Amino acid sequence: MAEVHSGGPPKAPSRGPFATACRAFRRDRTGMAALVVVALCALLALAAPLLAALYGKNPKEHYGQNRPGLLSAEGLPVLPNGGISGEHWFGIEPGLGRDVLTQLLYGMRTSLLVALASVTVIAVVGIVLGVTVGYLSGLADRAFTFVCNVMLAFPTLLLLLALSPVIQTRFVDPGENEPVWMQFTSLILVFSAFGWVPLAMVLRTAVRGLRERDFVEAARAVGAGRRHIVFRELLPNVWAPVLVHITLAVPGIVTAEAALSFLGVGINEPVPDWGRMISRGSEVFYDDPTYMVFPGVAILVFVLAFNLLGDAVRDALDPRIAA
Amino acid sequence: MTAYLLRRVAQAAAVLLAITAVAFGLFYAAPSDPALIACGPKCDTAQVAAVRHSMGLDQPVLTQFADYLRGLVGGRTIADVDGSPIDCAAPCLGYSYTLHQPVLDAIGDRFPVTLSVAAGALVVIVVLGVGAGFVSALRRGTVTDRLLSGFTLVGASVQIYFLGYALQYLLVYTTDILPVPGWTPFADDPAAWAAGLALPWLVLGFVNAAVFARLSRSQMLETMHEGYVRTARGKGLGPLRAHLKYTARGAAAPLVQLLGLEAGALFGGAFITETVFGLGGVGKLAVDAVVQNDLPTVVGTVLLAAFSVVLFVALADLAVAWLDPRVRLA
Amino acid sequence: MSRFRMRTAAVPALATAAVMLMCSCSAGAGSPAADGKEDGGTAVKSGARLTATLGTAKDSQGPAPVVPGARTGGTVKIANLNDYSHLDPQKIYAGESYSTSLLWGRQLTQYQVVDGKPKLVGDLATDTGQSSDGGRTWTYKLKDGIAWEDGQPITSAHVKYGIERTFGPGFELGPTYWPEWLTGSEDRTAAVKKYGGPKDGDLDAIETPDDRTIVFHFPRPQSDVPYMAAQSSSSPVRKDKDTGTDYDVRPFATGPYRIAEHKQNQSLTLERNPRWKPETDPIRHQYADRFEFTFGKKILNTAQEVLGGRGAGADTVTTKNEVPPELYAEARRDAKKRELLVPGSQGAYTSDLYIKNNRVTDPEVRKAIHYLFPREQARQVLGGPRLGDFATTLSSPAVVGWKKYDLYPVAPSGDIAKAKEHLAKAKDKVTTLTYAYESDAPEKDRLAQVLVDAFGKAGIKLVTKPMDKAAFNDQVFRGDAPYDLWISTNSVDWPTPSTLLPDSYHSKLDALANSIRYSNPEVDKELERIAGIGDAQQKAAALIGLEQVVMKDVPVVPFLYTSVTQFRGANVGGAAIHPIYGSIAAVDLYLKKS
Repeated sequence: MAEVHSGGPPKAPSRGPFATACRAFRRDRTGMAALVVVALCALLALAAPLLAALYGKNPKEHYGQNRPGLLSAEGLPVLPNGGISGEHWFGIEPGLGRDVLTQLLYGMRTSLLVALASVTVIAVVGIVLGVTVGYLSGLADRAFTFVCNVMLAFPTLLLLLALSPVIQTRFVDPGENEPVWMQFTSLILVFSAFGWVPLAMVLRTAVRGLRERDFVEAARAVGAGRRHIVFRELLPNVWAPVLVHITLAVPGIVTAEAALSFLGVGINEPVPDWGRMISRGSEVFYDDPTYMVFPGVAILVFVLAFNLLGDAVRDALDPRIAA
Repeated sequence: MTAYLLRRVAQAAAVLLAITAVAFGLFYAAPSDPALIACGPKCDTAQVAAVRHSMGLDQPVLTQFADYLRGLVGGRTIADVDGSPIDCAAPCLGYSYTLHQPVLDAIGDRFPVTLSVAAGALVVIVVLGVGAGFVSALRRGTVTDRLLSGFTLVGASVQIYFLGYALQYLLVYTTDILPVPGWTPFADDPAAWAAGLALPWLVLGFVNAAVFARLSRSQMLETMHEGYVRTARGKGLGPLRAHLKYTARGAAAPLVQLLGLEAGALFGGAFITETVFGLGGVGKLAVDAVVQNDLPTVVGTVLLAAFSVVLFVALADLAVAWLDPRVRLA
Repeated sequence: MSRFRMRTAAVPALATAAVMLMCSCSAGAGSPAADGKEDGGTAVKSGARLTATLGTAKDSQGPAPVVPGARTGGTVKIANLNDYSHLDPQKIYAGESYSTSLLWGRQLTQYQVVDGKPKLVGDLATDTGQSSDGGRTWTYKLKDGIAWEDGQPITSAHVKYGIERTFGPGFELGPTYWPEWLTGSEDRTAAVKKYGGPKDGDLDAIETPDDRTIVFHFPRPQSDVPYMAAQSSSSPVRKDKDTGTDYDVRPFATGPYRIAEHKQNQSLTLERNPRWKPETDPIRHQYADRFEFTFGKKILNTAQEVLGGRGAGADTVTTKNEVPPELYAEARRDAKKRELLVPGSQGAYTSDLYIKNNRVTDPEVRKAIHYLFPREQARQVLGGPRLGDFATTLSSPAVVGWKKYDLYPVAPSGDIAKAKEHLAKAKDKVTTLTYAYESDAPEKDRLAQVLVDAFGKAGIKLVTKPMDKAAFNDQVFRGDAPYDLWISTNSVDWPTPSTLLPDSYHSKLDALANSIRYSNPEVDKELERIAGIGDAQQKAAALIGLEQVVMKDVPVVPFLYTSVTQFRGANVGGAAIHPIYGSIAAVDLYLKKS
């Protein structure tokens, strides 16, 4: 993930750098297509309750258990191909008999919510730490490098796996369900705790490069304060790597979240979750392979679209290509 | 050079010490009580307390940590559930009351699996990734380039568990092309060893090759246009030989660094792959230990994984210095 | 730097997705089985459950009945997911470990299984024991020719030493009956204060007048000594071979096999014990040359090899694990694979919904829970009829003297209307209940959702509490135990009712034993009366009678008489679920072709 971005500040442009990038981006057909897919995903996730209402199903009801004829005594869909029918377009979940289509839609909400919230925290922490350390250097820089080295050597997935239940069981009253917001918060915190490192490292390098540049020197010469230099001179020039980093971080977090659910921690029942769907799919894999295909392909398309989008953004922002 | 080496070793040791401290702190702050697991469901409160005492869990965390570090360096004696002593030689990573063996032994037992999975996967990664990247670069802009690029992008986006199950369904279950994934020691039967690991290698290789393909392609394209390669071609060296001799070498440095990171991660245990294919390697050991709250094993495997990353990154840095004269001179 | 571009990336991606969609066409569970013989129901009907009878001295003589078709030679491979956490005979306390340890260990008595019918016979002893003094004294005579793996004869002192060990520290893991019975104590903690194991010297309550005679003296009458004598705790141990904690890894053999090598969590290899004499043993055989246990391989992979006959699959069997749910439906459809399934009732195990009676105090609420409990849906989400038949009684049909009763009949899918009626009758309105479970497998999460659904329909919010194993044991059984409901699968320690009500339903018992905190003064009184009965049959009858009194209060909701479905390789003979221990009996296995 730690893609070192060497993009310096845009050369004094005649048009704004943003406009240049937008123009470059618009010419990129793959990027535009990826953007459309991503936007569609976001729209579907936002409109999930509306779509579910139109479709007449919800993700929580155990259709297969409460209506005879949908699931066998062993809990497998009676109809072929995972129980796909006019009633349940993507079939029903083996065992509980929930509707797969609505589970998928709501599962996307889960993924996107975790990813976007984590990315926001990561961006804030990463920018603050990266820019500050890049500007300060010296002892702060050494400490920062050491912490980064420690964080990078940690087996992140294992830690996530071990930490999620720790956080979750610490703060819940025995007489209450674990609140859903708490599950989300702990996941987001855990992802953020590790996610800021690569971004901060990239920014530190970028800022160190900028620090010695003429326009910063000039600002310093005219007596601008530290605050001014950091916020007015440095920050505006590092948004390109930040944008690229967070676009590519989203699919990373979505897959990490799914992997956690696959391994059995993460968001609990009954909140729909793609990773848990895949995990369930792997259990009924030989009798009902259809069930695993929907979440599997959904994640694939979602992640692919985000990766393509991230590439396109990077290309558009890279002055050497955008020329 | 010696001073440089010494500094690197000191840095690595500091990083590892910090990781040990953090891992220890995190897991011993966990709400679950390993004494309860060791003692079993039939224990009453007094027995649990006795077990906790003999396991040393009633000591302050700092004392426990100091004991742990001492054991790591010089070995120590650990008390079993019933108070009888267990000898744990240096480097002592603690004793697993769940597995009834020292953590180092537990890791050692499973390491051949992880080693085999990682080594095979690395070969696939390098061959597939670097091969695809070089071909793409040489045939830049052609259909081959695009197909290869697209293919590696799918690799970067697909989930190991999804691909793993899908391929197992297609190649093992329905068509019988490969045997059921599993572990046979290399010494017992090399053919069965390779056949049982073929699918994990393929899946891990394919998924991780993408990054290599992208990097090697861009590195190739960049160095292809550097002065010394053009000079070589100008001197009449054929395109392929020129590329192999100069471009590949010049492009190798970032690849080697990436390979170091990748190897570090793989030798620490491929958690998901081992879980999907049911291979009893260090990754599976770690995941099981987390699930069973086997704290000594969790900390031990975290340390091993961290050690692996630190070691291979350092090795990669050395290799780069050796490969690229510019780095050596700088 | 030149960037990587892939305008055509979507093409392979879509192709991949399309291929996956195409491969995913699957038959529904509704399609008829290939051979049209799908019987669809549970393999084990309750009628097939048999209770153990007591054999005579003649039954106790060896050799064991010859198995038709069994061959001598070869290596039986047993692939289990996990290694045995204990091999020390006095620490073993689980059905499958009991069963497997018969390969190398012998006890005073043991179950002989012929045609699936269990009969308790003398193993090291010449019969199942002679009682006198109203059940206060039990005498056993050891057989001639019984020997350790080094050829030394097994003496009564060895049996005594083995039983003395159960008092020692570190042996809390095993059954507590010997310490309690021999000292006449309420629990083990009180017992070990009177005698703390071999370090305290000789235990006076066990007399060994000569090398072949062993006499137990109990302060109170005991009727179930023959059954306790079959437990692993009643295995002899030799003082000079007692290696302490290492004995848990490699015990010294008395049975037809001895441990050649035990690599923990990897493998356990058994070879023939030449000192074992078949004419002394009415139960065990020595057909195979070796037994090779391997641990750690994913059961799904093992099952694929075994059911598909790949690799060494034909010679392989598992004793600990069941057919993975992934392969079950398909194995039932395929006639060849179906033959390799080994279904059977899981000993005397039952699965019940436990209710913490001191939290849910109103019997009307407990009745409501009984009516709304969605047995059918719960079993479906766990895997269906192969898990067992729906239960209506507290004890298992495998228990001596069992009688069927159904105090509050209800449809398997539950009766929400009836549940609401009872809830309306309750003195205090119940709106929230908590359900605790061990979240070690995803189906447990799904089961919780099934319960949430059913309770919700009756107007009760069910709070679900997933926990890891240690937390579950700690929080549900110890301390305040702030949870109302949990599901648990348990078995009596041997197939008589003696260890069910007396060990779990007396109000004086602690929370570990009486985990539901059941308290009924009348039941207590009756239990105390029954404790004085020395005759096994009278005692069983009285306890079975008392069971219905207890169940009128709905302290628990019976769920299943559990069944298991294991699997064997095509070449493995003798694989059947042991009617007492509830798993494939390793001691009966042989290879059909070697």
